[in-house]
Amino acid sequence: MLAATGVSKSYDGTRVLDDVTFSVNAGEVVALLGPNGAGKTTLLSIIAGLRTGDAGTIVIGGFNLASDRAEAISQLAIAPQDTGVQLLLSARQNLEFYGRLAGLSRNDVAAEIDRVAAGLELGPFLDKTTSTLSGGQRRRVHAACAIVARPRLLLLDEPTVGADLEMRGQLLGVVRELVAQGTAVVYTTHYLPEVEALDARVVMLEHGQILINAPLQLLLEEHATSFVELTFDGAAPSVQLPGLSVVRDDTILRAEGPGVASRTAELITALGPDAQRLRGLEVLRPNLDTAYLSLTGQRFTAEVN
Amino acid sequence: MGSATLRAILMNEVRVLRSNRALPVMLLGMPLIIIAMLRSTMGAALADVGITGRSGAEQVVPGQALLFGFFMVSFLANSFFREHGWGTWDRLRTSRASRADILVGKAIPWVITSAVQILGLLAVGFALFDLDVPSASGIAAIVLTGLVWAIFVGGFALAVSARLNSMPAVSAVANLGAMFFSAVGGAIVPSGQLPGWATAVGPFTPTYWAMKSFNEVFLESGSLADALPAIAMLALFAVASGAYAWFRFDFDQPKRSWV
Repeated sequence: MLAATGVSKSYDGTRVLDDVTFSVNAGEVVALLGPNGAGKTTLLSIIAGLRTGDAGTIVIGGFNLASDRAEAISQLAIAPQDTGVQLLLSARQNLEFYGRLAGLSRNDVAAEIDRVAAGLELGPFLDKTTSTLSGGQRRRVHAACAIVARPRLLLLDEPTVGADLEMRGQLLGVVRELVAQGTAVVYTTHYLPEVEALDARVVMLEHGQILINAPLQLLLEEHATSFVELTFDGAAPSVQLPGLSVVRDDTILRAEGPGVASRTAELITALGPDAQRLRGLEVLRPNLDTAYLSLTGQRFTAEVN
Repeated sequence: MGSATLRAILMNEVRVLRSNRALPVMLLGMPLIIIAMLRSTMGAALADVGITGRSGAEQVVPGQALLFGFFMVSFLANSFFREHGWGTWDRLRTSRASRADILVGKAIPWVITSAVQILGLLAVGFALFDLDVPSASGIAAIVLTGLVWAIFVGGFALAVSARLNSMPAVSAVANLGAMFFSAVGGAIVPSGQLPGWATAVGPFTPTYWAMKSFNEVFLESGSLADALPAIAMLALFAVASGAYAWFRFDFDQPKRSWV
């Protein structure tokens, strides 16, 4: 459904995207991950035709964005990172507009509004002017405006930022439903549990380059492992325990290996007098976060490394 | 240009337009107050330039309609700038709507409103302010002038939106333009009362030609044929504004709504 090949982009001499190649099939979610500044939003903007890459091609539903822009664009809908709704109109009027703009008939738009409103629980404020809604409610309408267009390719740029847990769960449910119906989804987020909930393929960007491009299950099977992470007041001490790999990272001591969680007490004992400086302890179970840790040696964070 | 997407944008703009309660006050209420206050003064002003036996409605009604009608430039331009303020511009750009759909779909409701405003004020002038109803040919000239004026206002608003990057700048241009064009174009006081330099500059403004067309009908009892040269000049301004907007409107250019 989407094929991005060799996409590069620079701003003022700084390479923001460097030869990025990935694809999304119909009925698949690709979670586009990476720290702030990794190039995720720039990549989405290029796919949506809002910006032009310096190099590379984007093909959407078989249409080349450069040569068949109108056809390519008509396949997609985007919910940009910043909330955008028409504040003088009601939520329903917003949805009607974007549905009609996507070429849906009046009846189809009405049906889609019912479906999206049910999925995201827009009902209580569907006919209220959006300027009177809370930030969270507007965020729902914002995502709904993209979904109501019933696109073949849906681009969601951090759709759950500022959302409560309830909305997060509802949105993930709606996305899963769309994917089951064949929609291709590109989903950027900083919340790794959402990626696991969507069973997405992971495309990890760092400094504009693809670091990881693999199905979630494969990543978890091959790289996810348990860690014990100790945080110290001051530099982490040097510790060695048979059967465990222990590495120091500034104030953090990170231990990995078979049965590491059950050997936590042994680890603390091995600290000796340095145990006095221990300020935090975290046991990380195998998940996408620990897979990322195994691959990069760093915890996944929204901030630029 | 897709008819479905054009219709969607157009109907959406009508919805937004209807939610703007300041519009009738600005475009109808304010000029009516001024017309009521200045009619007899304008009668004297016309007499002062040698046109006697007139109520003053012949000058003040079309003049104030043009002056306040120019403020429509801000309203139409705002329909683009508010999309940036609301964060919906990118969503519109990534829709099926073509460039023509967006420009025309947004402009049409405001152009129609502009025509209704000017023709409505003239109708009120006939009903309440002793503005003499002209011949059928004269009425045709008035209607055509009103329509071409409305198209000019739409084209000028698009041109201003294309050229400027912030709503305060648009507002300044629209307000200054309304005052300057109306003043030197003879919409505020008869051209014969203006200083020499203003009389010389007047023909370079669209308001001058719109007033000239109205004057042909209301002051000279002229027909459509008499007014056509002035209407044609007004149409030139409309075409020039529209063409500038079409070629210069850069949809990628970031714009600021108010701050």
